[in-house]
Amino acid sequence: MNIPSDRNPLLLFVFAVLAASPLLLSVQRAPEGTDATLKAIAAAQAFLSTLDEHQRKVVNVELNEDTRIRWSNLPTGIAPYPRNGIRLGDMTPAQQEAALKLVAAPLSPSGYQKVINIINGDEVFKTMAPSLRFRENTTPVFGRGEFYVAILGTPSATTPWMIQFGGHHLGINITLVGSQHVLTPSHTGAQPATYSMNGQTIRPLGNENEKAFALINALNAGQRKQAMIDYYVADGVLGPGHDGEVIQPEGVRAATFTQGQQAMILDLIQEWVSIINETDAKAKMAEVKKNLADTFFAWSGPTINGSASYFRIQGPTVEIEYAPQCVAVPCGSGRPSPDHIHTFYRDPTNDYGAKLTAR
Amino acid sequence: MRQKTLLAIAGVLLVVARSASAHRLDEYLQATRLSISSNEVGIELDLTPGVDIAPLIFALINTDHDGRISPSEAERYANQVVREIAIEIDGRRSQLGVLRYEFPSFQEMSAGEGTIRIYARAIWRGSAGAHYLVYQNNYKTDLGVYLVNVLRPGTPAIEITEQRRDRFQRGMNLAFVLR
Repeated sequence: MNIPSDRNPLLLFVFAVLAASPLLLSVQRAPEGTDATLKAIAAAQAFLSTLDEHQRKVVNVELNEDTRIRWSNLPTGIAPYPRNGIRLGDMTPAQQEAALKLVAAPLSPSGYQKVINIINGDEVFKTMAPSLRFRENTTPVFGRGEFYVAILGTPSATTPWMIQFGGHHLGINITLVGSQHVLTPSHTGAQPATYSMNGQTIRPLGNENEKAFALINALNAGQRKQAMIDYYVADGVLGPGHDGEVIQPEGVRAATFTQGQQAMILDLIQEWVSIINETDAKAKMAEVKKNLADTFFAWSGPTINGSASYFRIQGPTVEIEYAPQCVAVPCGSGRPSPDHIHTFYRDPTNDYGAKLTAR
Repeated sequence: MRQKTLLAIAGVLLVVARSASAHRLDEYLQATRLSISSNEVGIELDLTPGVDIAPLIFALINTDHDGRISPSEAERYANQVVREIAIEIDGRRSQLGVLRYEFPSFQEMSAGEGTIRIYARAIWRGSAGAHYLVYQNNYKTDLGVYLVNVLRPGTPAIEITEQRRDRFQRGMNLAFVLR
């Protein structure tokens, strides 16, 4: 996947797409069914069996407090630490296929599709890389080949283990404990937020954007006044490195919402929750619904759809942050863009399956 | 299989403007998390210089210009930053003391993602009742972009009743009750 940098960007992209063809095809192979644990174990074993001994050692690492936190929103080259596992670009097509089956196993079909859309978006972003301005000694690397797969711990139907899959704008951390699967903390992001592929317009986080703007505009004047935070949010606050921190919530409390508004915020939250398979998502949504009265919705920025507005949802068992980032040079204050989004999804009581592993 | 792939290639079109960078370049991100207990106010400050200003910030720290941050240089810089942060509780200025700090390498800072983390605290003796805290960060206001948040207290004995920030999050006013 090493391509000379003096080639035409379009040709480079075509080459990269060819090299990563299993990724494109696997879009159609999201799993159905509910027995995600057994599927994940079988997929993990199948993936490991495609690897040589050295690769297996790199992919299958110990699960502990130091290894599980190695996820980032940043691309290879400028992430603060190397990610766990091996990159797709270092795998054969058969290994890539097996790796993606492992990723897909505990996810819903729509969740897996979102993951693929983010990866393909980064491949699109790679074509913009020649115009990126970085210092000589920093080399951010983008594209499909730069997504890492790791298995933390031993795949098991009883003891905790993890599947990590991440790269630029993606940090999927799935903790599997028996029949339960926990997706928090996880990160999704997009730049570009809209691209075209195979005749289709793709917006990896389009639903999140649409549902959030619909919700803020469905609030009455009093609710909206409470929801609005009157300060500029320069960056996310729930990202990597912030495990265990719970900030004081702000905004409007969902207890004041009408039934329709409550349905809208639940539908918005579901965009993150339902990345995991239907069974786990259903249980998680029931918990979120139970705590809905104590859930806050805060908004910073214009309420006109298409604006670069920040929002945060905070409840007893769910934290979601949607933070537009800068795209221009210089990346000055007040210039976030709707075309570059970071989101973080946490559960202050159950990140990395804390509730399940404490038993 | 190959036909599907070729179709995918043919269909790839950019519908977005070219971006120059996805990462902070000429700003100094300063993210503060405050924590309140009945006997101290804690501050955890993350300082992340953008790529373009990393050499400038590094030069401020690495005063002997040997390319490495020595313990004394780190200590001096941490104290320099904390001196620019003001905390008032119930109208009285509180003295902030540096507890510890972590510094990245220059290489990490040059990537625009190396974060300096400084822990500091102000001691206070809170009595039961309503209190008011004012936080103000005056460090490098020509380059800074700011975040400030208060962590949810770890005990029901402390309730944060109001939080207000200025437009750019350099300052925060907090009302809280100690039971």
